[in-house]
Amino acid sequence: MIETVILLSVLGAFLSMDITMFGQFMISRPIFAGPLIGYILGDIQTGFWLGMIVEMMWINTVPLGSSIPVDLTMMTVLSVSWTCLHFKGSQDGAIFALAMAIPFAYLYREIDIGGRNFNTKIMHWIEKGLEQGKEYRISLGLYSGLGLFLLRAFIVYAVFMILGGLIYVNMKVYIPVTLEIAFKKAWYYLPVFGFGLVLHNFKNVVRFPFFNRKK
Amino acid sequence: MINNRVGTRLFLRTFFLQSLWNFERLQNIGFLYVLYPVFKKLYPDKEKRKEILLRHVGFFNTNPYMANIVFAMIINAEEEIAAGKSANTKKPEMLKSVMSGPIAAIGDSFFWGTWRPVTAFVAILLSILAINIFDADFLWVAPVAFIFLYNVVHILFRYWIFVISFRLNEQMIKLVAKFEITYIGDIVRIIGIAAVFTTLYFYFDLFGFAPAVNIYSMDCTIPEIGIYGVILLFSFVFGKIRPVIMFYCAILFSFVIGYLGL
Repeated sequence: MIETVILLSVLGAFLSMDITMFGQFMISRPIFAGPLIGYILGDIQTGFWLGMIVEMMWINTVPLGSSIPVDLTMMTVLSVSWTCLHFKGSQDGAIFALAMAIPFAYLYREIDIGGRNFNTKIMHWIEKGLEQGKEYRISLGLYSGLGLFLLRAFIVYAVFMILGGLIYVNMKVYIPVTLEIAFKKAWYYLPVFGFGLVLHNFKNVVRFPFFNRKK
Repeated sequence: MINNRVGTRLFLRTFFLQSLWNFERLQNIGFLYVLYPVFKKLYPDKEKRKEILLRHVGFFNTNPYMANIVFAMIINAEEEIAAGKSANTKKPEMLKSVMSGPIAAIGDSFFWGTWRPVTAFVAILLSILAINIFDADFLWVAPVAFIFLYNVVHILFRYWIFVISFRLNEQMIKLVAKFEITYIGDIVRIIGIAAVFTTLYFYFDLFGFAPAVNIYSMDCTIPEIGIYGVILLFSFVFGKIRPVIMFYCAILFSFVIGYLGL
């Protein structure tokens, strides 16, 4: 169990790194991260379904300028992991896990903001170094920022996965039947909410390009 | 000055642009990190290089996919200054501040506002088709298709603008102005809308009309097509509601539907 948590935390940290820190190859997006974690834990269906729901409902969430959005990778990785580790194949368990993972993802956003504030200190350290002719601080500072991010994300993933997992398992047992039915229904309803949101997102096609091109 | 080896090294370094992203000057250290090998070649004298590095440590922010245009133009400008062909030492700074905003708007709107959601949705469509035809055995298609489709365009575009910006230099501004990004974006969005409607058809076919061909072969309640219609209309009309609120509203809605036995 502990080996699985460590593996998932390392993987989660690397996936989260893709959001802003390195590359932006979109491996951090829920539609990729969800099935990947599900595949590793032997339940690609749950991984895909949760990833699809998060991807569509948070379709417009990307880091623009100085805004720090909620970490969708953490939301997906935590919910898929909790479900696959404790209630594999359970639809209501999966939706409950997602409902529980959202506050954790928001909490991580605050931790991430703190980390980025620390990056400002590293940046000033590099600038001071440049004034003294210490050019090596550019690479060292940048790799340190990257390393600290990975370490921070790994620790947070591991703690949230263990503590959140314990809370999840204990609360799931006491969920009343009516709520279980609601979660089972939400398994099918949530993608439809997502389809509507995606259509809303695309509706700003104000002109039909083949006939309305600017002269 | 910039041979293939240095060019490749610079291109790989561009992926680190946001590695020390900070609230005060955003991508400034990433910018220095990318261009450091060039400054080292252009200014072998350490004191002179110090001056250049400090000049470039200021605020920098643009879309990371489009930043290669700024990098190439600044390298060209710095080469001219270092070779004594130009005395305008403020030109690189000016290029940074003038180019960053407009190209960021193009990159954000096309890549993050259009290409990413559309490729993600095409991947979802492929998965729903896979569930429909092969009974969930080919679900791995979704993530693979998404990463492949997205990155083929993303990486090739990043490489192409890096190379072409070196060649065209300031003519690149004219080329950027000519980018028919709204036109291309509209076509991609129309493909996205077509993908959404196709997915809706297959989704309703799977889970809406008859006993579900479930993603799991376990008992579950069968949602009604009418309820789906209400949900679709609600989320389309009130799409501006924050996703987190929409999510918990959906759970509440499911609870009410379940409680009423619908």
